[in-house]
Amino acid sequence: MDVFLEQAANGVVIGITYALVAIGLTLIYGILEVINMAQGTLYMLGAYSAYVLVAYLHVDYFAAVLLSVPIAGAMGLVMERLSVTPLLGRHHVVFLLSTFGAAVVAENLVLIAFGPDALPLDSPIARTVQGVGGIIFITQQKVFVLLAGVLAIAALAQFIRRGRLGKAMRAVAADRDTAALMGIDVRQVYRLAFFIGAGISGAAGALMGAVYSIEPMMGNLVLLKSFVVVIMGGMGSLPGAFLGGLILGLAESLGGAYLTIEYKDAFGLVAMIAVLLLRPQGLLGRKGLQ
Amino acid sequence: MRDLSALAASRKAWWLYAAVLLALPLLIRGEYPRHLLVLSLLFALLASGLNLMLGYVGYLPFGYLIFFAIGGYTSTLLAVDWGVSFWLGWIAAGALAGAFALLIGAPSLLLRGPYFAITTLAFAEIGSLVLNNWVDVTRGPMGIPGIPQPRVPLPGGGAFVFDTTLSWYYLLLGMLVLALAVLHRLLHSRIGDAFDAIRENEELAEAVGVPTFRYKMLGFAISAVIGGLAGSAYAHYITIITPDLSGFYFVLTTFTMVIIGGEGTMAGPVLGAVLFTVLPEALRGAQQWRMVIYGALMVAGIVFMPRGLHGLASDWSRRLGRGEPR
Repeated sequence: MDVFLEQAANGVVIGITYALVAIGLTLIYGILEVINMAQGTLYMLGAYSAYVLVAYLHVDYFAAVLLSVPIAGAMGLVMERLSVTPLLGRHHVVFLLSTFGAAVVAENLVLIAFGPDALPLDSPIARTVQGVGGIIFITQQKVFVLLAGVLAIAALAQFIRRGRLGKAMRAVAADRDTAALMGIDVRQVYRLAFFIGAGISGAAGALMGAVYSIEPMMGNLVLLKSFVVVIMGGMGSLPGAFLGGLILGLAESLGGAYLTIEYKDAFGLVAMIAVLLLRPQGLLGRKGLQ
Repeated sequence: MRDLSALAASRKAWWLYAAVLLALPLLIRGEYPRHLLVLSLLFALLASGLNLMLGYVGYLPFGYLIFFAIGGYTSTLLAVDWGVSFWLGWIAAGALAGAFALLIGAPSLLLRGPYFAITTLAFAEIGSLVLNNWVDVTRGPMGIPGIPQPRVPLPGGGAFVFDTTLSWYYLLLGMLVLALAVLHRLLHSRIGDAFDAIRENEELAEAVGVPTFRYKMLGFAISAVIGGLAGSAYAHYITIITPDLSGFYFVLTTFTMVIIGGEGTMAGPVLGAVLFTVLPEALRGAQQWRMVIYGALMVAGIVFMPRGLHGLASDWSRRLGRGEPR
């Protein structure tokens, strides 16, 4: 089988996961102007939520993925209440530190509860190989990650574009004060953004956890990757995050196969620094939530 | 402008800290408690360096700990591979960390706020990848053991070796006092005024003709030099170095020290360093809860005491001094 196509397929799957976490990050930033350093931690929490549901409560894996969204969302709300809400109005840099502190607490609680070792999140389709057009063979789990990811992103985009609450979110992102004057409950929108942003990252963890395995620090590198994606795509841009995720996933997967495996995690970081310097608004970025 | 009584109070507090620090290792017996004191001083040095950027210039260098690692590896490799003495290596460590700060700062300091923080984080991550993967030079994740301790040749032909916690204590106290003296002079000069202006309102500072970029570069470089010197001292004290030096544990610990101690004050980070080196020993039974407690304290500290413990303490002492009942 063709190595290039296999790596490309893997890259797209990983890219979708990056896109999901990055969309969570960019949504929260677009609405609250808070950079959530716990975004990778919520990815991890989603994976562990699914693990507890599957391994202890014998819930079906697919139901567990669905349930990981509200569970991670609720955990996000707790974090928001404790480390973001009390600081609203302060200098934006304090949020980086306070959400970092919240992430440390959550990660180490998981470490204490489940130990440092990698745990398997079992999916019934993790080992079933699927042929696509007779040339690419990937596991059905990866196909599921791809489909579920695209579906989640499409649903979120529809919600933001068409839904009543989505309209409120766009209004707050565009102009917080005017939105408040128009009778929109800004705090409510903040909570909604955090809930969705946390939930979508949690789902990414529950999806990807069954491709690899799960461990308490699995979110740290993903957080860095989502920064790369969000900055490449433009802060606050949903299509940018989607596209950025795919590009990064492909670059890492193909670069890792053909250039250097040791430094594959550096590609995105270098690209991000370059984008920040040359095109700070991102490749697709404009102001406001799109 | 702060009122003079506050200034006097903080200076008085300084003399108190100094006296306590000088006498402390003689009052405390036993290798382990003294080891904790040495670590306190090391972290005080590191935290003071971070504090220059975080508390005075007002920029958050999330990747700061890479300078600690650069310093540690510089003098370690000079000593282990080339037989260079610690003293020269120590200076080289500070210099190289400062040089890297200029390299990293040149692009990063064009960016503001969170973008600067994330860019430094990206550079630190790249640095950590290099430390782990450039095995020919850094020996990779296994690290380098057997780092020689500093020695001073004596006239009789022998040498005094810094191999006791007591000797290290005074060596580090000297380094810390030196660093704080330099910082003090710096911050009470035009440069310090420029930092204040940048922190409070960078656009305004620029508009009235402060070359803000140059001052930010200077602040970042000095901050990195101190971090590099601390890293070098740490490596030669512990005598083993691994890429973990720029890792999670040190990042969390150092930032907690500065924030809880009180960023933007001289004594705050020192206070934080001592507290967060000694306190975990009191919580020994809960070793694995240490990180949880640090993280929670960091959030609580930011929310409930924006000026840190030192700010809280000077508020109290001012109230006591004025006899205000509040």
